Amino acid sequence: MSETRQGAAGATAHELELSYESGVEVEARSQWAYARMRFMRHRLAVVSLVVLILIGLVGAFAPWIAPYGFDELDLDNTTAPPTLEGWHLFGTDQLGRDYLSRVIFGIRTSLWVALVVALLSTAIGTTIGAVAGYFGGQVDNLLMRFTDLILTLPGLAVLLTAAVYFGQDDSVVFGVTIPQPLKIGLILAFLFWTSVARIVRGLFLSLREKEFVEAAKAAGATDTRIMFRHMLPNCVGPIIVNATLVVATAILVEAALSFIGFGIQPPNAALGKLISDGQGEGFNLWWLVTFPGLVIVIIALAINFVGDGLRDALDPTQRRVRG
Amino acid sequence: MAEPVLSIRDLTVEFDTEDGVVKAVTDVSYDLYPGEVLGIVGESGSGKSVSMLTVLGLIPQPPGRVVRGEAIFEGEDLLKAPAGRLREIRGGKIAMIFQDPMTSLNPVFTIGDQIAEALLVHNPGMEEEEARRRTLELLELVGVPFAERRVDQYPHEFSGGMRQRAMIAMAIANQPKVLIADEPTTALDVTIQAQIVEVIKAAQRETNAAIVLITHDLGLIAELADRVVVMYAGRVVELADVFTIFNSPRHPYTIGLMSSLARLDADQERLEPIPGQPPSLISLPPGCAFHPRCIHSQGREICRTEVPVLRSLPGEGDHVSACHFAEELVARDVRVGATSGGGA
Amino acid sequence: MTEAPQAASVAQAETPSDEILRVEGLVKHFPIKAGVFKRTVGWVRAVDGVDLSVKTGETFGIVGESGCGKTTLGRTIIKLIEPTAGRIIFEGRDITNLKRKEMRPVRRDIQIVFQDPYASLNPRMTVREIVGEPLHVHGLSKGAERRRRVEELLRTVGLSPEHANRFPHEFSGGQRQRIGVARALALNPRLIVLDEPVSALDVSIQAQVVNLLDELQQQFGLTYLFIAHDLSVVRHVSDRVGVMYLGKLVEVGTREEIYRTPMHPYTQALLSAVPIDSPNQRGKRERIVLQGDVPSPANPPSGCRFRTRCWKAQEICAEEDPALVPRAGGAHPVACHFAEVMDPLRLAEAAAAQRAAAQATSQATS
Repeated sequence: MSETRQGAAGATAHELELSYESGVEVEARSQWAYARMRFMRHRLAVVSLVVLILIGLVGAFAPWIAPYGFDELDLDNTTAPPTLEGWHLFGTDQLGRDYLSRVIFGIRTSLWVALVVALLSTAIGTTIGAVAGYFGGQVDNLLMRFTDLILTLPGLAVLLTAAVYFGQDDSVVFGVTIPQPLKIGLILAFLFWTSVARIVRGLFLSLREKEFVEAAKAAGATDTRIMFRHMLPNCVGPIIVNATLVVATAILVEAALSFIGFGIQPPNAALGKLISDGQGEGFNLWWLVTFPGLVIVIIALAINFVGDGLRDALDPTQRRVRG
Repeated sequence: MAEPVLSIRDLTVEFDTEDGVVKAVTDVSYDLYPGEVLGIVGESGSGKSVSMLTVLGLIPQPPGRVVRGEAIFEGEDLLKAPAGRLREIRGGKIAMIFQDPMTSLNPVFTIGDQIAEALLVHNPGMEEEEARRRTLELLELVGVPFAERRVDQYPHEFSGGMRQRAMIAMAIANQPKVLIADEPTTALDVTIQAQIVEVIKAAQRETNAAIVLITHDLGLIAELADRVVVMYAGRVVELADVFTIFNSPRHPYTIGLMSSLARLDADQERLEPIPGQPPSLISLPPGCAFHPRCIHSQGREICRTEVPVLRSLPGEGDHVSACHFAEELVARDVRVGATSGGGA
Repeated sequence: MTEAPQAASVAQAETPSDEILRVEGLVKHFPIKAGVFKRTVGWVRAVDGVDLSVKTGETFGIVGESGCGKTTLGRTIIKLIEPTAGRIIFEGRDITNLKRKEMRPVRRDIQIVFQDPYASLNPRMTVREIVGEPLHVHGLSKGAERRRRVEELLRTVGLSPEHANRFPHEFSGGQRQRIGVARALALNPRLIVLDEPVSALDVSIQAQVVNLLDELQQQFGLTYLFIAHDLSVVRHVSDRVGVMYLGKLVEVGTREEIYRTPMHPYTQALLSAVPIDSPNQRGKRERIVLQGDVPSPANPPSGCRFRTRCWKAQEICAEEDPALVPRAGGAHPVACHFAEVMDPLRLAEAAAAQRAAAQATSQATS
């Protein structure tokens, strides 16, 4: 009996010692490290990401990369099919402008607009969703009814109307020039924030019940701190995934708008606008439609694959098996 | 003893995960005899459920992988049986009761339909009316009051305890040879637990099935089991009849587990926990997996270098233990000591 | 002049010096909403009139089954949930109606440890940030000083300071619960509400955490409100125990009173239902198997709430809600019209032995 007691007393010291070293034998990795690992396993997503980065770089450095200016005329060399001569890899259009250069500048405009849409709609949606989900009750009701309202708007009609009334020229607000493509971005962002808002609201509703949030409240943390320091970081995964998908949709919608003439206005080159300009010639000048079209498809596909990869990588239910 | 109804030999199952290979169970062997209640006790990560789930083909493969072993049921190795055969056996000759009856019952069908379905699937040619009559009998047997009315209700209209009763009714519907109860009372309140224990006893009387009772709750084992398998870190560390396990355990882990319990009927100055944390199944300690937490090992070389085999103890019949120094533990009847100490 | 001393004595009676927490008539009803317009169609009476008093330095245990309102009670006492009615008096100060801002300094003195060591730690924060969070929120210590304090806290709960930069998912359940305890200790609280602090842990780890809590209580002179469903653990840790059923306390007493001389039928049934701890006791314990399930707290039975499952119930039980007062045959308060001592744990022989011993002592004293 006394021996057992001694053993127990010894065990306490032993216990503390043990808990110092044992327990965590698996190599310590942050959650981002796990996400990266999972993402890297998704081959298609990795390839897509590389493609996207390349396209993005091309767009970003368009003035340095494009062999010609996007509106540089060469009336001696109109409607040339793709050729190595003079590096008109994508051919030239009816005014002899180098089509490769026009596509590269088109990428620049389209990606830029899409990024604006993604950032802005994510910011608006996250804020509205977070406030609605965190406070619940009447606040939630009000914000969500507003969200529903936006959702029920006939998207295309609103877009066209807004584009016609506000989006045809650069405008100057308080002495700051807002370029026309940016305005198209703003209009799209106004329509695209609802999905993030709903996602974030849902996440916040469930996070609100989590004990770590209660723990923060018990410590006396303010609402803002709880929302942004404790809850928001736990929503980053789904928000990022959604943002990538918004980029893809924004590119497609902007292309469609530009195609029917209500989107980006000349002289800015946009991918949709290029197709629209080229389609009048039908199959004779096939390159005018094919190349910008291909680029749009590649960008949209790549973004979707990256989104898929991110979804798998950031999904917390994909945790490793514990024995 | 009679021939075992289910015999598991050297079962080794691994899971491939991002962090490495999880050795869920290693070289697990035990027999299940007709009509007995075999308790499998262990903490989370001990692998106590894995062996049975593997036998029934219920572990996802991949990431799971049966490395070796066999599970002989009525002369047939279930580990080699095709999926169709396993489906036939599951819910027929081998039935299961799970921890959470809410997730194991389908919310869109009535309780009666689900039990009748279990009957019809395994008894081709049975009339629907016959199935319904039998369903009512079963519900009455497991103590669902107003069975006539409740048979047409949906799972959400049942309380936790009633759902567990319905699950048991479904499990014994086809007179199984083996009934696997995986933490059958863990999700329930104490007063409901006591009811379910009675129902399980009644179910066994009715079907004379051999029951495998998988649990972390030593109380449930004390209440129901005939023989006990103690598992730690994926291995069987001790196996004996229930009285031997409780009265004279011969493995430091079993002893530690018993003495770490808070007691309902006695005051204790201090609890006596097992020190340290359970090991990671990815990087098990070398030698005996329990040695870093063992107060008897205390730096002995062999504990760190050699995996102790499960061996029977001289003069103790069927009692087997996987400890290099099992004989040393003979003098320590921890449980008895605690009981007599508590009364004072 | 004659009234003044009386008033003083009343005030004193309200807050005896050794009382750290007093709860009077605490009620929390949650609305049940339905329909498109979220109309309130009913109320869940989670906590429905609880009085209790906790003395400085003691551990007050609250036991009850799921849905009895014990967790809501704990959350309401530390004002994570606003009470519907009643008073919460902490160290002589009524904190019932304190606004969130006013509550902040009080939060330094009352902390909570949660049940689920997985859900209670923010997965996106390091252990250092988690344990340091209360210090940050209250603007206590900065930079190197806070680092030192966090590391000291980790050492106090038996973790290594090197663990500070890791994330919660890298720890086992027992270690996570230690992190939760360290966070609760960060502000040097006086009272800690422990909400099922060990029930999610493995048996062998439970004992470690229980012992740790024990040591910390002695070291820092803490008062615990220990909420749990595990009767054995509550017995081990508590000085006094309250038994809850459907939003009300049905019996309150010292550990001895509740576990050796329980008087409420529910307490007796609860104790008898706990599985035996050795097969040697098979068939030797008087087991009261209660019929049926706990009624819904949205629609509790009239009168005594336990009457629908009680073998003693008579007409009066449906008509009159029994008060929580000392009853004949015992010194501690019981809410039952037919309270009498019965000890379901006592084995047949032990009962005889105890009776003999009791006789001997009573003869000796008289």
